[in-house]
Amino acid sequence: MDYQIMLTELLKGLLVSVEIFVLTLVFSLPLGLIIALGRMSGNCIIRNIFRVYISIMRGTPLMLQLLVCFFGPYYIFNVHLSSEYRFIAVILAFSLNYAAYFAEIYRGGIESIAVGQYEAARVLGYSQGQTFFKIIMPQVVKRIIPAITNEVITLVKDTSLAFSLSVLEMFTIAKQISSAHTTMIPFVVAGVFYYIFNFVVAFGMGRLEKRLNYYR
Amino acid sequence: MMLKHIFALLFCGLLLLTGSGCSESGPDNKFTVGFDADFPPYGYVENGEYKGLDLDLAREVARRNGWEIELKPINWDAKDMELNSGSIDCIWNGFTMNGREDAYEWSEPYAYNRQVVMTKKDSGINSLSDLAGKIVAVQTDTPVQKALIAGGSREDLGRSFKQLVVSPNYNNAVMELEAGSVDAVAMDIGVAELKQRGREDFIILSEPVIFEEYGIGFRKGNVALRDTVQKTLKEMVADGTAAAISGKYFNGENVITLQP
Amino acid sequence: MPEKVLTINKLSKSFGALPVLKEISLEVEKGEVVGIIGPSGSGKSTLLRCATMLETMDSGTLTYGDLTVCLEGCYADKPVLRAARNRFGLVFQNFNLFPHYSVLKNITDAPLCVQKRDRDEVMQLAHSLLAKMGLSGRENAYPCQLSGGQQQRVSIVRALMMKPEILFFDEPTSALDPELTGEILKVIRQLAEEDMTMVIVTHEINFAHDVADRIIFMADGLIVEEGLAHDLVNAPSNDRTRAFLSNIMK
Repeated sequence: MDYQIMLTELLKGLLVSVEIFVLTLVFSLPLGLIIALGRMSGNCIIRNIFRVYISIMRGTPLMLQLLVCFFGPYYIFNVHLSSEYRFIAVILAFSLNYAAYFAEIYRGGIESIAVGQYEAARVLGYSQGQTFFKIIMPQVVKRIIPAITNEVITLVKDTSLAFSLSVLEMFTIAKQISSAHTTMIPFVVAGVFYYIFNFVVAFGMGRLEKRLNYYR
Repeated sequence: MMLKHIFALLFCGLLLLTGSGCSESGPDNKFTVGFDADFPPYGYVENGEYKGLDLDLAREVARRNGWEIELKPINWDAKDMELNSGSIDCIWNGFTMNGREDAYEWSEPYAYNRQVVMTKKDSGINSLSDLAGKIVAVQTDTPVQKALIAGGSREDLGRSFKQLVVSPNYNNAVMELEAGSVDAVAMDIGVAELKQRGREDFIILSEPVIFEEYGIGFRKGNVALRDTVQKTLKEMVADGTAAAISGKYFNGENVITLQP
Repeated sequence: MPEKVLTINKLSKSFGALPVLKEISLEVEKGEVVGIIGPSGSGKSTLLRCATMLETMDSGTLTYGDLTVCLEGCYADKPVLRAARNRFGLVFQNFNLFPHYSVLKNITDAPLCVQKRDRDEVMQLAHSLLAKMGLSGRENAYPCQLSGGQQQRVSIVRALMMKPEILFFDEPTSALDPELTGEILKVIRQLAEEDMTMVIVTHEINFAHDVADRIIFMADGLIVEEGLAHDLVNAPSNDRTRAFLSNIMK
């Protein structure tokens, strides 16, 4: 087996994994906040819609959601699928799924902020928007970073599920090389790559956590 | 080299932990067959039961030797680990020998097979040359995939495609064909015929992509078990049992080519 | 006739079936300092929260000068409420400073971003008020780096920065260690000397007696007794007031 080729192939796969990772975060972090706000809405219909959404996304396997996102348009609406939709479906399913988890983390964070903070802001005349984005959210972010880090690290490892829609990411490529050459080395290398990837992510989140450590 | 050593250490550790040594003799009275449960008509699930040509053959071999049979569906990607770690005794599941000649202790080939292309009737694809510029799906780690990629025996054909999509299993590939995200699926003739049953909109191209031989793969060095199984299988061919089992899955056709 | 900063007329409030305020009426004139005392559960904090619009009242009227916030249980439109919020400040028992903002940002953010006042004017006022409160040099500290007394002084500055016509205090020393209450009481006394209009809910009878012009004694959601500070503390006419005072003086 040519190690040069193996490494090139695995790095190509790593790039796909990183792409899925970054795009998922870009979409799911803001979406999660919207879902969290919907989940805490004063309107009981809206609140229940989001409650059900979160319950379904957390209660069914991500792999199933991937299949539904990709094949759903054809089997439900008879839409002819293009092969380019494959990657879009992966990002869609990952974003919808992770947004549900992030939403619950946001909700926990928002509900943990003392009511006195809202009252102080109200007495000082801050609008609801100002109160949320200037006073509440910065404190929420600090509190939820450890929980977010957990999810983000899980996401790195979950990228391998993209193969259920035939998107070749690093782990699948490792499996293929491994079975073609009857060797375990690609798995070891892939494992090392995943670890480095996660180490970088954990390091970045740790730095962010430290930067927010200037207050209580 | 460094990696090889690290891996060897890791693997030894794993073996110690699981306590599964590599016994080179045949099973005392248990015969564990590893197979991909997504591979009809050789091995699949129907009404909660494992069925298929290979599994019925394996059951009969076990019965004649007085072994207790265990049918173990495996993750196809992990088949080597399953076999080497001793958690299965053999891989018996439409298992292509071509290209893997040195990786296993093989039985004699017991059936021939061909890999064909299935497409939609209205796709305008009538021969392999029509596949130029099309999107074709294959299952991961199958002989036909190996043949179509760089270095394979049908590399030229593979290069003419617009894209080769690697699906996790046959079912996904056929769903993609149905949904239109791929134009054709290259796969095993047995599976193709089964998938085409009752589907007037699918056609199978008569021109095969590759021919191949099916064998039973045992752990390297496990000659004793290989010989016992092969001897029993030959007896089954001689007395007509094998042909009867084949007929059950291939509309009366005998696909068994092994000679007694 | 003296100018009335705050007028409350027949304010009632219940939590579910439990009435906590029963037709309370109260007027505060410009420059006046009013102390509110009473046992816990008497409704004095709820009265303050209704006056500062943190709780909605069920019935009655609430007026800040010429702005009617609530007329017989009916609240005015949002612009009126916003204008009324500009007229008062509130100092909380638990300070409620914003932990992620420095002292300077805590006290200048609302004047700059809510009131949209001139930056130089706001900064100048901030530095002079901090100096007056003995907090010079702590501009860049975060609340968690300050003592409770310092935090409460910052929160008083924060309220004063909004240039309120009336300042409410909700038990401003209750969350502090006894040795730190002195510095807060000193600051409030200083504000009283500058003719700041204030309503102070407190447990510190001696302080109320010292700084307030008028004291109100509340119990069971009612104003039981009301009078000049000196008279009410030294010669209460009501039995309940007397019992409460003698209990607390012990």
